[in-house]
Amino acid sequence: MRITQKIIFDDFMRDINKNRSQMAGIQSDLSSGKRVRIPSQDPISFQRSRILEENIRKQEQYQNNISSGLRQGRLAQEALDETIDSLIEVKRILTHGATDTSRDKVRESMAQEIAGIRDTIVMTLNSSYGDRYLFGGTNSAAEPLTFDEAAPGGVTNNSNATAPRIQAGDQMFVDISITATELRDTAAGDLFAVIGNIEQALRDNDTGALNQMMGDITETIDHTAILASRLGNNINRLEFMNEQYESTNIVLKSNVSELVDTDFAKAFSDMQRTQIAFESAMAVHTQMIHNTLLDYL
Amino acid sequence: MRTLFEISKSGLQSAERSLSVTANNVINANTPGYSRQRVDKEPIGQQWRGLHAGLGVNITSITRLRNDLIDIQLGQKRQEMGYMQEKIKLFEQLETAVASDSGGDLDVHIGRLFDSFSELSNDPQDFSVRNNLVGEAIQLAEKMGDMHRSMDRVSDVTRQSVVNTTDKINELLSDLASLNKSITVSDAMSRPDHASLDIQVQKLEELAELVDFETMTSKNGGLEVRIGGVQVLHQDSYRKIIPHNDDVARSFDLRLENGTRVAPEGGKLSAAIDVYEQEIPDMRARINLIAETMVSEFNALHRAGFGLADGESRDFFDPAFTTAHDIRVNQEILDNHEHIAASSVAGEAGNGKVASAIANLRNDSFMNGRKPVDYAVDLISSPGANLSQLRLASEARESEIRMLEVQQEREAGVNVDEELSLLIQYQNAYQGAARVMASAQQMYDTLISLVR
Repeated sequence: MRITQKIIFDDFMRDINKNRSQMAGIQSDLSSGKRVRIPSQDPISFQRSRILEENIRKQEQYQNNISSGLRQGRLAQEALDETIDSLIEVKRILTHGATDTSRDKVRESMAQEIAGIRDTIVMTLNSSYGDRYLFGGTNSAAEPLTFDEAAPGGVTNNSNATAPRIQAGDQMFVDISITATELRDTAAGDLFAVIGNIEQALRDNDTGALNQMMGDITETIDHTAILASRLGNNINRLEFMNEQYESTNIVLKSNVSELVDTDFAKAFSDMQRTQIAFESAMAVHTQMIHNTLLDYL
Repeated sequence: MRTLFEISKSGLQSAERSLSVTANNVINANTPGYSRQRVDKEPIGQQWRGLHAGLGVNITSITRLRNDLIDIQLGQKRQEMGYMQEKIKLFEQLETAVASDSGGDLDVHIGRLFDSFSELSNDPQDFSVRNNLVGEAIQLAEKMGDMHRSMDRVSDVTRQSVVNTTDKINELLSDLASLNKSITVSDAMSRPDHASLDIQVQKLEELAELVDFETMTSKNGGLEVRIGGVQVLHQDSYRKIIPHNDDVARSFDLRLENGTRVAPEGGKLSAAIDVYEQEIPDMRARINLIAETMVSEFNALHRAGFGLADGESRDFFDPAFTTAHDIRVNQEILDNHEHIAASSVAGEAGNGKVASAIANLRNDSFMNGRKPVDYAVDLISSPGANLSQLRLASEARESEIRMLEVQQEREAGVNVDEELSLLIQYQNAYQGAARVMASAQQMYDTLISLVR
């Protein structure tokens, strides 16, 4: 078989170029840490990884939503706890006032104390997160409660019945607060009306009425506590979901990594193999080109 | 005795000729398209007084060693290779136009816009969220415009490539025509023009990469070339191919000067036409579909909602612009971010139902039955998917070509060592013939001295 110099040289160049491009590929895999950077390197892995990344992005957004929901929800929960404390204080004063031993003047100051507590409750329920009033429902740009003598209990309600919510998953929405509308609507009637009635009865020294109102104030405390625990449940649920997302995220991220990241052990061994081939090709070729009749003529 | 001079003279001539052929082989060892040549000789003899006596050597011809069958196969493979390589080149440009390794691709931008809407639904009154959302929407629109422009640029490059390739083909046809002329003339004198034949091989190699063609050699040695069945080269005349381009309909029409249509099916030319007429318009249609469906789906939901400022319903994207090239956010929203409709009820500032409905579009399969991000991922990886297939196929084709080239090289290639040993051989032959002549001279001298 005739083997010409050109065959030897072309084969050498072809193999060397192949080795070089392989080494360049391995080098960039190693230096970037990624095996698949652009689609043509592995279209299927690229597509899968991008779709997984979209899922991760979506989940991380749900986690952001949950964090934002938790911040608002915890503030609302605290406000509700304070409201319950205030209502218990009302009940304590009422219990005092309802006993016959209390003198008229004391009842008068009790009435003033209750008016003060009412103001505190209104202030607490008007608390906001940024520009958003927590108890305003979706009508959260306006203060949910404002003072107005004509309104029941002297407090107007500007909130609506739709609680603000966040999206915690596909098709999953969680309420992150209670609306003032719902809070006021107790089985004993309007919350502020109940307080207003107590205040009025104290001023009137009407111990009979005061005694009857014991049940009402207990009812409002229960009502508020039930709402607070419902919100507490939502908060717990959000916390639990956040943890779940955290662990699925780890799984998803490791899936992406498997698809597109460099397997370092494999890359190093490939590098060594290619390097050996490259170096021997060089060594053999430099020897080969000396073998010519030209030197002997 | 006179024959001694004739014999040695023919020996000297043959050795000299052989030496020059060998020298020519050595010198052209690396010339593309060159085929090694051999001197064919035969002995001369005649009947003389009942004996057959040799009268030296005669050079019958100088043969060019080359396997034409391999050339035909090679031409076929080269044309496939030219097709694939041009496609690879263009798809590489398309891939660069739509995908990067920086992570700022279309799918990410779409995902981030949905994220912003989801964020807005948490807290519709937060202005920083609204500002961020508008920023993301503008970036998405710019990204689409950018991709569209990049595709246009690739399209322009491709169109130019078709024109340039056609020019190159015409040039090669003209070269082949003039080669035909010298080949046929020498053929008529039964002195084959090896140099022209070698150049012809080289030109045909170049032509094979550009376009698919069939060749036929006529009796007088002239080459005939047909592209897609249309004769473009006959003897010493060729026909120019003229590309007619319609850049609006994205089509090419190749015709000869007399109006005959030429339809190439392979080589670089047909690859560029394919990409120009099909692949790029197809990608453009897909990115436009993304723009169009985003505009219509976003606007449909957005119009049903209300912003913070008033009870008016507005579009999110400007409905007058529905292509990737010009998609843009509604100017009213750009002017006042309060107009982003997050609420499902007018006047409810804390209502994020519409924002979350828009965010939920990411789970809707409204783009040709695919979710928006999936569809975008599909789009940006389609040139890459084509590329990786083409690269595999071209690697296989390359090694086939290499095998055929080696086969041809074994036949037609110059082995310098072999030629050098022939050189020594012919040198010796020359010396031998010269020695014969010297002996004959001495014999004459001896004879003449007898007469004195």
